[in-house]
Amino acid sequence: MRGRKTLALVVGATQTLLAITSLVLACVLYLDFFNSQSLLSQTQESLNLYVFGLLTLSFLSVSSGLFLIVEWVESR
Amino acid sequence: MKKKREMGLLNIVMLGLSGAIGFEVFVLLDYAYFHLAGPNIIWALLFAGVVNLLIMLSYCELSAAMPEVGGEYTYIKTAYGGYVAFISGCFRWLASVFMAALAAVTFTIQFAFLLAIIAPEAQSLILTQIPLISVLVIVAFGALEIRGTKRLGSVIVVALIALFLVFIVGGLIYGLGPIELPTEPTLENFSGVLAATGYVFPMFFGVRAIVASASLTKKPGRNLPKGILLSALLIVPLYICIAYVAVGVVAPEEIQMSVPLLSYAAGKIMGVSGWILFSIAGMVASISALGTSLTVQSSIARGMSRDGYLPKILLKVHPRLGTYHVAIISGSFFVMLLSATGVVPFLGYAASFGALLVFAVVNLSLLKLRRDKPNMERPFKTPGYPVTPFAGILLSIALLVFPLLIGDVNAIDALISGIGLTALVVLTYYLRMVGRYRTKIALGGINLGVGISLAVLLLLVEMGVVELVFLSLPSYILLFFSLVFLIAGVLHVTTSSRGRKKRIN
Repeated sequence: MRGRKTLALVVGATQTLLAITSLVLACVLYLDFFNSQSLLSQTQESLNLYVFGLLTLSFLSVSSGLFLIVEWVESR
Repeated sequence: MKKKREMGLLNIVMLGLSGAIGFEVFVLLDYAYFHLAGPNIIWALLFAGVVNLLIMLSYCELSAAMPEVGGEYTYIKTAYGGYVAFISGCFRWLASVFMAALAAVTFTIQFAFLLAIIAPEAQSLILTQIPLISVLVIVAFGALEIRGTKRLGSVIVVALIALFLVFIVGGLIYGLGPIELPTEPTLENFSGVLAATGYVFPMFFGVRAIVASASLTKKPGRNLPKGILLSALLIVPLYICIAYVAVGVVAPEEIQMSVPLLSYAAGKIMGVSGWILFSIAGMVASISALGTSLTVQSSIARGMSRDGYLPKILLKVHPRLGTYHVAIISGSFFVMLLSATGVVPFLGYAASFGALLVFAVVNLSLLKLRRDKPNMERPFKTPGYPVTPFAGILLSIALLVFPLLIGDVNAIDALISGIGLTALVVLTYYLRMVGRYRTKIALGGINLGVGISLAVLLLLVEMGVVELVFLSLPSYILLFFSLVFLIAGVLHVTTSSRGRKKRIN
């Protein structure tokens, strides 16, 4: 039971972190911070697809991660 | 305790003018004049005023019949029930969030323009960092909102009207150049005017602020329709006169878009003092609008949270300051994200689109209520029914569609962002409605799916069947992600069933 609680916290925190990283990466790409679009040398269409993919991953990851963190908080 | 109805007609008109006359005039004229309509912006303002008046006729009838807290949300809920009211609430919330972002960016642009006189070397720094400075402005004013601030709406609107009158009279004395309005209408002119009409529309719709105070109005059946119509009528000639003077003073090819039209025109008419005065006025109006928009988005979010559509945490009050800090912070996060684009036309279109969709639904609500509740007490009836509400719906949709038809990239971006954000909120609604148990089961399934897909992808990459072209992630990172999602999936599926058992017991 204790191991499960710890696992929920660790996986939840990792997923939340992954969501934030994906979101930041999507913003950096979309807004072309640090000249990122030309650095990756991708076409505009493929960049839009990557941004969409990163945002979807971010939303899924943060939803899942926060649910796991809430589970850990409630079980304390 | 129920508050007394103590607002008279004058208070109502002042409230309508405070809602309508604000920072929008300092920022929306620029793009509409230089890029969309040219001198025809005067026609665009006239059309926008007329469309606003048509829509406000529906507001008159509904607010007089239901002078209660909630405004549009109440009307739509009465006509269509919770779900449509929730979606409309989302559009209204989106419009407020985009408006707040636009106000933050406008503040930064006006500040940069003011610095052109005081410290020219700092101006270019501000202009290159508009997104960053806008975000800092939101952080500062979001914190002020959490601390609790007093509104100076009426004082600001009186000062702005006085300033605009000085601008108009000064412009006429200064002498206006020839304004070349095309004598023959062409398709290009017409589409440009219609796109500009949609873009400048946020300058007008602030009049609806009146319905938010309907529950405090004396004799609402008489004062609300009069107040709404008077405010909607008064702003049309004022804006047309301002645009007429600005267009007469500044030729389209004279300046670039990064320079605010009104402040530049004021500088030509009144010299340096006019330049400084209008920049400061633009900054003050933007700050005021930013505060108002943050409060409005917070109150909409709290309303939906109270009705059970959004998490209850949004209703949390700060123990010491007594403000709704969670609702303000969560809304400010979205505002910061949007203002980081720093693109004024995109934010202007997005704010306009959100409001236009709400207007279309309000007009639909009027039609439905007339049919379903014919005996409802209506102190004011929309003249020309059913043509007026139908025209309101069609024109709202037309103003939304025309900028897209002319292929304006900013309008297309605004629409896509709006759809994305709406999808996010609708998803939140469904997650909320289906309950925690089912949501966790669904999330568990999705996590398992993603985990398995990543594992298959890793296998294919290792076998050399596919190649990662976007980000060449090392295999162990892909393996790590795959494991995280698989474990998360198993945890969700198993804990959900235990939670359910606990609830049943």
